[in-house]
Amino acid sequence: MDDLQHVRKRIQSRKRFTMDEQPTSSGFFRFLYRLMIVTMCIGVFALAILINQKMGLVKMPSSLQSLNLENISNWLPFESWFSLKEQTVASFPAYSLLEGDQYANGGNIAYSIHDGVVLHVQQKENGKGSVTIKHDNGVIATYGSLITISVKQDDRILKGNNIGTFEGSVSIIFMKNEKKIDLATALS
Amino acid sequence: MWYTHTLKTMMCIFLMLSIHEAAHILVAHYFQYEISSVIVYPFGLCAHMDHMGYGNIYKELLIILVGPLTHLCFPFFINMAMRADIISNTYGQYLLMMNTSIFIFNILPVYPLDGGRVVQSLFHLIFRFKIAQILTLITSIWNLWLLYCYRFLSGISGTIVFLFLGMQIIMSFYQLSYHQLAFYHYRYRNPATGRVILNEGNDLYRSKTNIMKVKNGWMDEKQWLSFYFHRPLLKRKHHTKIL
Repeated sequence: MDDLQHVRKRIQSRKRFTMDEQPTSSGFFRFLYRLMIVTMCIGVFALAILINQKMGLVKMPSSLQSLNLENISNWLPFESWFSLKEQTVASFPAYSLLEGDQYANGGNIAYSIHDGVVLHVQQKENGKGSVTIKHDNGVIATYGSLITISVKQDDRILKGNNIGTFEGSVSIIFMKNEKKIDLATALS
Repeated sequence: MWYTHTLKTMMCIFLMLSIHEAAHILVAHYFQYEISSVIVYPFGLCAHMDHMGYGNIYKELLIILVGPLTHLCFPFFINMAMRADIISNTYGQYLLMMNTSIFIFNILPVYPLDGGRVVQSLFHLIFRFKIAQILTLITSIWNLWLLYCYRFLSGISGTIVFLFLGMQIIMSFYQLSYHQLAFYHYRYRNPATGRVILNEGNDLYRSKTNIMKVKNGWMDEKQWLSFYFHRPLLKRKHHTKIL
């Protein structure tokens, strides 16, 4: 009789165990689990493409290269839709090289050469400041000797937006992959 | 990672979208609609309201339109923030451009979006329920195709949104019968208040109080619905007899 009760108890405890396990295998949990797996797979795939693009390991087909995966404008919703961006970006005077890193554009307002994000804003003691922008084409540009600065850190900047004002000339240093490049290469 | 610098822009967009959705929810709450869930997509939020699309058209139009209306108030707040030097002028201009873009996106006449829902409501004013639903979906898919052909939704984000909206419309085609049944059930429990109309078809007008034509004459909407919902029960009785 004791044995029978012992067996019954074991069956009962097993039933309880399976009852407890049921909520974890509910439809919602399965959906969440699959969603996470899919999201992670997409994340890993996107990361692999970006690393490959940076390192140049495997040559990608031209159709995939034309997508410009590094360009934030492509990923940010609303920004490049309805062609509103082109309307806001008025034509701005082109920079011409004076000497060294000094550029002039016929006015005293410094314009951004491309879309990008402000990485850093620095105000120096002599009253002049500099703005570092990471452009969507991978170029990091530092606009120096600015008297007034009209952007803040982490601001999203579009091509032709006002960065600040300068007197005479503005110093711009273009860097790509830790190498100094000229204006023509930066614009391409 | 320099991508973290876009967090500020992302948060600003998300804030605008949240206020937009909150406006919908507040007015829906005022009209005693129950909000079952709010889903966050990368390009916006979506509040699911029970019985949305079945109730009073004019009340629902107000719920739909109040969302896009919030975008007409944002320029005022953005200008205030620019004057108070909370955000820079250049960034303020960028946010104003984004606000305009979000506004245009929401008033697009594509079904799950606000503009599409307005089109749906207008169709419901003229046509019977199922025909209005079909016309809404056909208009939506045509408009979506035009938008994509003219490259209004550009970039990777645009392609994702195009595919998502396309999927939503296709799924809505499959759910047509379900929505019709849910609408009938809603009308059975909440009697119509619109103008009385003599309806010779076999589907209800959403905006009107229907008097339905049957074999022996005319039947009140409630009676017709009661008859409609009890038909399967009669069949079931017959089935038991055979057994």
